[in-house]
Amino acid sequence: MQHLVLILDESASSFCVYPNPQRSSELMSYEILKKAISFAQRRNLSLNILAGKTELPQSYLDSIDLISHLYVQDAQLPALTRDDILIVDITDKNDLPPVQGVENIIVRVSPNKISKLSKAVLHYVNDVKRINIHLTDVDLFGKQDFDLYQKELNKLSDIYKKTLNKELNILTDRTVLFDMNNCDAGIQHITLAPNGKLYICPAFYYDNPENTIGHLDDELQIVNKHLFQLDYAPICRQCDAFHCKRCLWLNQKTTGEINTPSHEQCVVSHLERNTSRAMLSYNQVNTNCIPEINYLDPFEK
Amino acid sequence: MNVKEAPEPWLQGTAKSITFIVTKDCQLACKYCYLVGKNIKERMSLEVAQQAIEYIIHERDLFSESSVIFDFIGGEPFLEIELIDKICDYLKIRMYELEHPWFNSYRFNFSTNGLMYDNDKVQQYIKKNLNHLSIGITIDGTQQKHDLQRVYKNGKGSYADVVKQIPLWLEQFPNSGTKVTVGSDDLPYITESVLHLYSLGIKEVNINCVFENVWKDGDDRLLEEQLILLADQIIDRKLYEEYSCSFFSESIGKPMNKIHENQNWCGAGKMLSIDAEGNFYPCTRFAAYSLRAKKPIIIGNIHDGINMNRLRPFLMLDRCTQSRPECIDCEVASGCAWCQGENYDAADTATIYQRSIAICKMHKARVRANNYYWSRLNRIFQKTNQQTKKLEILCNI
Repeated sequence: MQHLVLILDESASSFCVYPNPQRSSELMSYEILKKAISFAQRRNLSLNILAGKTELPQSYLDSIDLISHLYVQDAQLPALTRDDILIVDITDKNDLPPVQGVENIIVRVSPNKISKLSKAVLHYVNDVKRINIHLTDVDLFGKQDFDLYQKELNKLSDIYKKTLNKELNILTDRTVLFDMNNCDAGIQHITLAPNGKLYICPAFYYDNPENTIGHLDDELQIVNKHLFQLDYAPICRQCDAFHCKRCLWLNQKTTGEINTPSHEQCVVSHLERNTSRAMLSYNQVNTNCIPEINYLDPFEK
Repeated sequence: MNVKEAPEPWLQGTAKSITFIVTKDCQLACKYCYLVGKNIKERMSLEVAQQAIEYIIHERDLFSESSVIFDFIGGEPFLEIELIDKICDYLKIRMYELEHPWFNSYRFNFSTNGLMYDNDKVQQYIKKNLNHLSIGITIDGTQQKHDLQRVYKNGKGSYADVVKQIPLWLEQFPNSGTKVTVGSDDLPYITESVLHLYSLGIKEVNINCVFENVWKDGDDRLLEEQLILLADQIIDRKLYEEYSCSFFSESIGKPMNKIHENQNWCGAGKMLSIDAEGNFYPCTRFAAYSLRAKKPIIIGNIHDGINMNRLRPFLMLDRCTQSRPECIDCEVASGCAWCQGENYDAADTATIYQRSIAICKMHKARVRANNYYWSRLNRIFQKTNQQTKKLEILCNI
């Protein structure tokens, strides 16, 4: 375990594939925050803090400064340090918020905004070192969405072919990976919600606060935790879309099982994988690390 | 060696199995019944059955098997014999009209409590569909054993009403077997019950311990004792030549290879069950009326079809992924069965990937008795072979 994700504000923007919480702003109590910091310190965890619109009192800031941390927050809010991560949601509006001062941003995009993806990336590519794309509502992807996504991936590939030392999770990660590099929620990180309870990740909390895996005061007990591991995921363990998030929450939501991804998730990851391969090929780099395959879903191998 | 083995299922299990849950009502209230939500309200309508049939016979990619078994279950299916007759007629007509390959390779299958077997409408149905029909009547053994579990809602035993149906059933389906379920209270009656069923003319007894966690301390020893007694009886009376009992099998009780013997035991997900609402399930055991502690797993319905994402976890199930290390490495793993629905119902989280081990000690007891049975039988046949050889040598001299 490396990180404790702290939902410091109920209304903190989603930084991943789960929907933006429709909740009013409410800070985690100072008592719980102090306990959380102590919990993390005892386990040598760093904090990834999901901040919201409410300005943090000085006492909160001072306490948080006692431990290794970074803030993840909406791009509308000002970053505090270069290590912070800003979140951009692609919306119907044409204006994209500025993201100066950070190296790493998250861009969230839903199926009906896919056609805006490459423009958004082009907008930010020179400002930051790394862009993490998160597709929301992957389970709603249909054939047309896949086709459109492939077109956008091709445009993104054109951008990154010519750009050195820049990272785009969905294209460049796979080119340097030799084994699975997934989200690893519940293994590498767990989440603390404002109610003082622990969760596998924020998605499980926002989906249903009853999904708790324990309390700060208790020993952590994740039942059937082995099912989070690759060895117990029959589709994923034979897959080489190594950059795939392998989102446990999305798995559970779409297939009913935490260890089984949906068809749509697999296709999206393989479109990305294959575009990564094409990008390597264009740059005349050996493509042995991403062999040619004739499927988009390992389930259909 | 002339030992009768249980016959293979029709087409060796390669046919598609489609189950219509026609009613959730039953005349009986068997104490071991896993159907916890039986009721008189949920009866399938012909319209729902027809919509299900239309979906199934038009989805050739999803239902690509060359043969099909249509199961009718309840509750007690014969309570809905008129509906079933109409469903079967509709099936036959539609398969014929569409020149569906199943028209030449289908069966209708029933597991019944037998109480309505000689009912006129049931008999008419049987005569009409005899060449495409399998019917199993459940009778648990002696009256004492049967009435211990299989009782009417008022608590009265059903043995007397079932046993009188057996002769007609065996006349119409001479090679039929019966299914016997064993719970903790039934253990002392196993030997006499199997022998009793043989004496009724039932030559195939498919018997198993329930998968639920009902087993008490000492139950494994009791099972072993009973099976050894049964083994002695079967061998001493040479019953093995004509009768089979599924407790004894040469293939059980051996370690299993992690790669080559990794297939799932249970067929959940490869079959399809449809309930009165028109919902689809990977097996009847995932319908609400079968589950004690979990939500049903619905994989689609007659309007929207099958949600393949919901089916993926079932089709990817294998033995090792759902088993604990001690089960994977077990020295007597082969033949240790599981029910996916019970696994799900008993699991610590809502998963089908946690195998229940409630049956572990009972399986091990079965294996010990099974080893006794086969070693006794093999010794007898070795002796017979040696005597035959000696005789041949003497004759040659």
